[in-house]
Amino acid sequence: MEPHSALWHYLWIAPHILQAVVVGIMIARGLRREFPVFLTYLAVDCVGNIALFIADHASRVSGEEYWRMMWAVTAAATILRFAVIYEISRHVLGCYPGLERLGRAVLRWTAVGMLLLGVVVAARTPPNINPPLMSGIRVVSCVVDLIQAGMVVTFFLFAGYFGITMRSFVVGVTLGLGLMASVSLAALGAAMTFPANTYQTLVDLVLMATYHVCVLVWLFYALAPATERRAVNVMPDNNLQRWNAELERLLMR
Amino acid sequence: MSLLWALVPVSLVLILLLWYAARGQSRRVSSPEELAKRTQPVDLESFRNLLDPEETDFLRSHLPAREFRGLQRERLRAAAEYVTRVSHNAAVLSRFGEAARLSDDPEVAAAGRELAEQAIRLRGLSLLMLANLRLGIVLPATRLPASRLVEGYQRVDFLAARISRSHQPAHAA
Repeated sequence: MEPHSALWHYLWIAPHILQAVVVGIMIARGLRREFPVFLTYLAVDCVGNIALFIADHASRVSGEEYWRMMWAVTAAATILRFAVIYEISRHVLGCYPGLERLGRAVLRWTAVGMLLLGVVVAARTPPNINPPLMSGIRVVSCVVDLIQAGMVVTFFLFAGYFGITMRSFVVGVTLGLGLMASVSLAALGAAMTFPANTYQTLVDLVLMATYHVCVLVWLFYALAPATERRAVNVMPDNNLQRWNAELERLLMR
Repeated sequence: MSLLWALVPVSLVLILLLWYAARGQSRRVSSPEELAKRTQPVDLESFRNLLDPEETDFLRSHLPAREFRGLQRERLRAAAEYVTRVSHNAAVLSRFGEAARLSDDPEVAAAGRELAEQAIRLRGLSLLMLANLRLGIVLPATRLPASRLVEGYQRVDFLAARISRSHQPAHAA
């Protein structure tokens, strides 16, 4: 539809090709059964964005049709990202039923708090010169980013507070989701203060570059070996004495 | 300035928190040496004395009200310091328990899981206790139940000892 630079095209399509690579690695490493929702999210986002890329370059697709497609892909990806957050919390806290219940309650209340904050932000958004179909996507995305970033950070801090050790892949997925939502929040928030879309291209580039970084984070963690299992198997010979000394020191009886 | 600009610092704070939490995830405790280095000494008897209701009643009945409140605040501040240490130790023990949970030895894994569960419980109790103590510092007349915290702490110690014992035969062999 619109002429764009080579960098713009690269940043649009490259993360989605890398997403397909991450999907392949996940399947090869048997992570498909453990993280089915994340796998589905990657697949849907990959296919959806490649379809959008093709539609953007197809003369038969009208502007309105393109934005309808954009809404559908964004809605699907958004719902799946919430499901990924739920999947991560279940995966990390599932061994501790009491903590899982508390964690879910904390996440729910964080989502409610962030939604209220998002509604205030949306209400204060100046009117945009674009049609509602185009400008609405920004406002909704901004509110969703606020909720998701809040949920991801709260969950990360919650698990850390209770000393829960996440597998490196889970850390990577969480980090990627949080980074994406946080940067997107700032970029969209700043962009919406300019109703005339003055910096639209720059904001698009920032968002696409951030997503590229996030996919690279997922790729890195998908390739990283799971080293945690080595942990306590390598124990020093004199561990009992050290443990006893530790307990004595703690108890001071 | 538009409210929307406020989202930029909010986003920066969220990124910093993410970085802080991810950094915390890399701190793994998988050996007794690390455990010894990371835990802090806690004197349970002194802690019990600080929150002993009889001691508090004695001080209340023998000191002028103003002096009692001042002294009670000091005692509660000291108790809060103990709880902060207990809470820190619980987090370290929880990480150790999590590492032990992944052990190939089923006995170590089971003991690790139990240790982690109890440490998590203690961490939660410590949070409640700290809130309770802070309330007590503001309102020194409040009575504080320390028994559950002490009980939880002792249970974690017991489980940690069990993990050590379960390792010994394997190493001896």
